Amino acid sequence: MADHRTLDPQTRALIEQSVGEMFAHAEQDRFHRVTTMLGELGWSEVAEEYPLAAQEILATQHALSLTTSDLLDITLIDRLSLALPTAPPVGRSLVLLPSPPGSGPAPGPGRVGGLLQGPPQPDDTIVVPFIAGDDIRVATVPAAEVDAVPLHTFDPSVSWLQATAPAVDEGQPAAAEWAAAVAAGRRLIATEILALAGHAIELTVAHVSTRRQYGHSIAAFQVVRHQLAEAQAEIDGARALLAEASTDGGYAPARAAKIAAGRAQRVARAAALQLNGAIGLTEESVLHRYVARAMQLDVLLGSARVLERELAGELFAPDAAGTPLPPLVLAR
Amino acid sequence: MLTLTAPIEELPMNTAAVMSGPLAEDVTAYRRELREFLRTEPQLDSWRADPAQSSEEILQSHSRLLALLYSGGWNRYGWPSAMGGLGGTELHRAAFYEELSMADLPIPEQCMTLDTVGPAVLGFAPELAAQLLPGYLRGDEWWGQGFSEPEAGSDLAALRTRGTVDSDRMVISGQKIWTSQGATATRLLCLVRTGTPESRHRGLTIVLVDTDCPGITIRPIALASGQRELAEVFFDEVNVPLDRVIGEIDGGWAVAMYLMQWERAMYCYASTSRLMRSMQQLRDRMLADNIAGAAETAAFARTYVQLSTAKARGLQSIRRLAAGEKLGPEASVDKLLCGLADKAAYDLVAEVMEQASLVAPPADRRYAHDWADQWWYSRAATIMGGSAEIQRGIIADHVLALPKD
Repeated sequence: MADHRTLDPQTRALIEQSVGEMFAHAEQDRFHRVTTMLGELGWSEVAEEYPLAAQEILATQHALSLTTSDLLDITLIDRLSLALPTAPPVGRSLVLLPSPPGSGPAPGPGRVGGLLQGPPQPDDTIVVPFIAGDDIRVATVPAAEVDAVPLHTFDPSVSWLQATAPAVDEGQPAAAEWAAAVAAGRRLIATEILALAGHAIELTVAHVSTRRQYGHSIAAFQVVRHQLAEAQAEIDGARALLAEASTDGGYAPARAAKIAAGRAQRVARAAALQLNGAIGLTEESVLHRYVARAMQLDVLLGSARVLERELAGELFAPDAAGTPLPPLVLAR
Repeated sequence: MLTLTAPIEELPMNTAAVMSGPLAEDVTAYRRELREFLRTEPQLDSWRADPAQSSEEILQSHSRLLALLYSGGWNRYGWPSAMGGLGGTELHRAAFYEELSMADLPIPEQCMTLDTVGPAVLGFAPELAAQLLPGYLRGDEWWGQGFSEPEAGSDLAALRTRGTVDSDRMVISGQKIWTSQGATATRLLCLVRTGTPESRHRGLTIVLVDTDCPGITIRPIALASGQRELAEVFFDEVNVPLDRVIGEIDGGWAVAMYLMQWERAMYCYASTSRLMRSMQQLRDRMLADNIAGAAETAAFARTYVQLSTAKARGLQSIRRLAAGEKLGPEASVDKLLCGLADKAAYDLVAEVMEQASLVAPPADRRYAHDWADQWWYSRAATIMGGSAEIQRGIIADHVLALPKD
């Protein structure tokens, strides 16, 4: 799925602005369905012409606006639909996501547990992936049959629910579709996490550049400069791995990119929360919104820690000895 | 302090090769054929378990490896025909390093220095490049980079080694230190002061000096591991013909900054590719010794992702170089990530496998020896070529644009 068409900077800025305004007008504290919003924007043309850049801009602006929506659900369903006899209704479907700390679906069929990112509408369809033996299968369940209770979340501005869906039939085999969906989902989340971490650093750069102590801006102190430089380097590195994962399209690079994004987010938030001083810990400062959202998103589809363990299991498979480590990045 | 803000002259790089090889336009095909060669060539097995242990033995052994690779044309890709190459871009060189590493082979040490000095000689002294770089590619000779001095490390523009122009020659006196491969190098690419002592970066010149010139004394420096990887070089009125000047007299800083682009991108890529082989060897030992608990393997996975991240960043820069773009201060991100990953990879060995590294029984003597060498050398990854502090400073100044007062 190589896509090397790049946007020229002016077009890119225009698209970013339109998407940014679209999300800025979306009411906060509400779980949005982005299909209608994107339709009004004429998004399908942009997405068709520049698939990778479009996805990156959409995810970045979504994160920066702190919107909560079904963007991840749409991304997953786009791939999972291929395994289903009839595609779930666009814009009126949610995915039963793995419950953290899990990174994969729960056992089924029967009553399958998971997480919903937002409250379902009565006529929604819930797409339910589940594990049956060694197989991953996918079924659909009417939302009316799903039990859901709100979760307590670190970031109170998301509206996640713990849910149980009765998947009564055997579903459809979906191992390949699930892998592709999860890869796309993890790239989306990694893009969001890095946008949030990057913004936390931008806010911190602005703060240390204006805040003065001992007669100097605190940005003049080398220990401050170096913490920010290190955080920026971590973010830029993770962005590079994410870009490679997007071009590649595969499962392993996407997982690694999400790990790298999660790790970079930890470095960035540590620098941001330290260097903003006490004001950065208050409700008054907006910093906490970006920090909390990034931490919250990290646990979706497997946190950095969980995915490192999953990766370790593959790298240390008994038959792995003597073979090269699988390259996540190759010059081409 | 090193900065990357000095103007870089417009120079053609990798001009269309007159005699390109058949794989010059296709990195994927080059990779495929190289992989097949590395898989099937029986002579290569002697480098998979190389008996060479000292720095001198390793360089000699790698020189023979280069000669073998050269005879098949493999390391000639990525370099222009003007210096004995077969055409292609930096992406060929990157693929070359990756394939060697994945084939459980060392990346010849000489490649690391060629990738640093080669592009600058090609760009600023094409005649010298045509005359001398083919020998470098063949593994016949290798060069050291004489930049640092006892009183000019991070503050490179404070260097004092004097180059006095006298009609058709330059007379050099002074001292260089921390020169990689310096003890066995055939030539040294030296940055010397041709301007006034106060001229800082404006009064510097780069000149190529043969190490067998009268007046040169080279002393190897033993690192804490005992390996003599570095050297100090003394110049006592060393005469060098002016046709050995790379670029303009007093124009050395521009050449050094030009060179720095490849040092950041290519050196780091070769380095992270090489580390992937070390990581594979570590994984295999952990499996063989049954050290694969959750904590150890998770730490391994994390470092593997850290290395891949540094590699991904490096690849972006290499693509830019291959497209003829210039790298600016943002390349300090590459260097910082690469140095930190290098150290993390060798720290991991002691962290998860102390019985084969810190308290090795006789059967593991060689493993422990090699690891100790590499561990000590990896400590330099955040010191040499601009310390991590310098890189963080450049990122803070030029990428984040933080105010200074």
